[in-house]
Formats: sequence, structure tokens, C-alpha cells
Amino acid sequence: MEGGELLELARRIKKKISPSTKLFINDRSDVAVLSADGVHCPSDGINAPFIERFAFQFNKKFLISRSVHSLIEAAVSENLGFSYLIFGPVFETSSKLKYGRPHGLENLNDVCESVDIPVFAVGGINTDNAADCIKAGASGVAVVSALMQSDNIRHTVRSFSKALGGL
Amino acid sequence: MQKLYVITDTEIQKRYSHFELASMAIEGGANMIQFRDKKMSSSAMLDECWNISELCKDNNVIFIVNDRVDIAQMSGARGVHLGNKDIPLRDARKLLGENAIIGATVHSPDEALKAEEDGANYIAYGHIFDTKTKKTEGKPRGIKSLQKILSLVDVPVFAIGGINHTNVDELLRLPLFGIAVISSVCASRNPVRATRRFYNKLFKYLYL
Repeated sequence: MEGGELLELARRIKKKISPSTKLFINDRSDVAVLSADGVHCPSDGINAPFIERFAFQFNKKFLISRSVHSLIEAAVSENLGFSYLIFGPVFETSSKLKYGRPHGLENLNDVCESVDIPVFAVGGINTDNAADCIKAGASGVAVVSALMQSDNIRHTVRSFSKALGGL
Repeated sequence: MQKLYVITDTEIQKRYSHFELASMAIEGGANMIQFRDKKMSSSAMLDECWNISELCKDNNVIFIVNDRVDIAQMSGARGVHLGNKDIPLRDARKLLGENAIIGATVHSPDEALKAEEDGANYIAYGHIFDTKTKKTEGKPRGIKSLQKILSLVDVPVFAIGGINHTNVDELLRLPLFGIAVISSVCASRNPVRATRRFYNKLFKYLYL
């Protein structure tokens, strides 16, 4: 999606959601600063210090998260100043096949214990295994397929919320 | 004519990186460079733009990043160039401030006036001649419509699109701020010499 269209869409979404729901834009920190609460960096995205210097002039509370796929990446990202991490794939999933075999709950637990910033679990998360991720130390879960392929997104979100003990 | 604007392109050719193209263009006499890449990862982009930005500062050349306002700011570029599908000009201005150079691609008198009103520091009008790199954008606009744009706006105007070493002659006597070239430099056998040939035509003309 081109920058203009993405910005327009982000602003529309931001207007619709409740003020307590955080909106993140993937990769494009310019669009994110103009429309959202934070930017999510893929592992080949820009490093946090650059984004901080750019974004904090406009929004001191701007959040910067990052996808990580290993313990070492998690440690480096924490040092670089990312606000939180998304670790995965924890379970088998079609949308994250390019990142290789699932890491499992044990690795998730290792990553969560090795850093002081919040870690979210991603990759093959469903309403049955979401609570296990929290038990392993995750601060939350990130879902793609389970929602995008759901026939009733509203209902699925509620099931997740229930599975996580009500958000 | 004040500016010879070279836009680096690694899709129409794979021999040279953006940095190599920028450095060859500068050697040939370009005094404005634009980085344009829609495929690179953001970190690779920032890396490349950072290096080009330093190179341009050392050589007193204006460096502009296409589309990515964030990369422009973070790499220390002088500004950003926006197409009509990119972040709107006024939003980019909010992010970069009054001192940044923000340029806009325009294809019609209406778009030209709009860009001027929105505070563009320059506009690039085109494509003037037939070109492979802009094949999706219909027929070339031609010299007559370029003259119309020039009489319509006060903001500096670049001619862009299909400019080569022959048809550039048709542009030399127009009150253009500069010309912007892509293929005729990036895809040429020798980008330094290709730029030099434009340079000689553009700036020798001043002393005729």
C-alpha cells in the first residue's frame, strides 16, 4: 500500500477505535507518527534510536516495537531501546512459514525471562494455546490467521479475551 | 537553468547501487540527487540514504529521498519528493519543518497549482517525452503543456520524463529551474559521462 492510502486508512481506523486501544503501523514510522500510537518494526526495519529521534519531537509517548526470532535478537533489541517485542513463530502457522520452524513455548519462556521489556507471542496462536503463552511469561499475544480467517471476528476476539482471563 | 537533478534507479539497471549512481552523477556534475526505491527494506534504505546524504553534503549537492518522509529525516537528507499516492505534502511538512525541501510530481496544471498552494518547494512536471520508466502514466505531455505550467506557477519547475541528450536541447531556453533525469544517466553505459554531457549542455548555455 502506498503511503497516502495507508495514512488515510490509519486515520480512519484511529477515529473508530477506543482511545485505550493502541494502533500500530508496520514499518512506516512517518505514517505512524502522523496517525497512530506507535510503529512496529520488522526484523529488517529501522533501529529504535533513529525512530525515537524522529518521533519523539511529535509524540513523547510514541511506542516502537519489533519482531524478533531469537534470544540474541531479543537482547539486542532491548538494548537498542525498543518498547516491546513480538517473538515467534511460537506455534505452527501458515502466515509465518518463511521464518522457519516454530520456536515453541520453552523458547518463548527463555526470551520472556531474558528481557525486561514486554514480550508478545505470535505465530499460530489460537484460543486454545493463548493462555499457555501467558503462562510462559508473555505479556500478551498477537494474532493474524486466527482473526483474518475467522467467520466472526468480533466473536473470536471475545473468545481470545476470555481465554486470556478477560482483558 | 540551475539544477541537474539525477534520480537513482536500480530497477532499470542492476550494475550499480544507488550510492554508486549518486557518486557517479555527482562526479559528472549533478547538483541534486534523489533516492528512489520501493523494494528495499527500511533498514537497508536508511543505510544507503545515510551514505548518500553524507556524500552529498561533502559535495554541496542537494539530496532528496523519494516517498519516505521518515527515511529522509533520519538520513539527514534535505527533503522528500512526493508523488500523488504518497503522504500528502502538508503532512510531510509537519514532519520535516519549514526548512526542508519538499518536491512534488505533477501531471497537470491543476496538480501544479495544488502543489504550489500546499507549499511545495519545487514541482517536477512530466513526463515531457516518451519514456520507459513512466509507461503507466499515459501519453507524454510535451513542450507546449510544459510552457503552460511554467506560465501558471511561481514555484520552481523541473522537467522530467524521457529527457535525453538530444531532446534536452528543446528545454534549454525555457525558464525551467532544472531538468530531472533517470534512464539517460542510470541506464547509460557510462553514467559519469552521461551526466557530464547534460551538465555541459545545461550550464554552458548560461555563458553563450
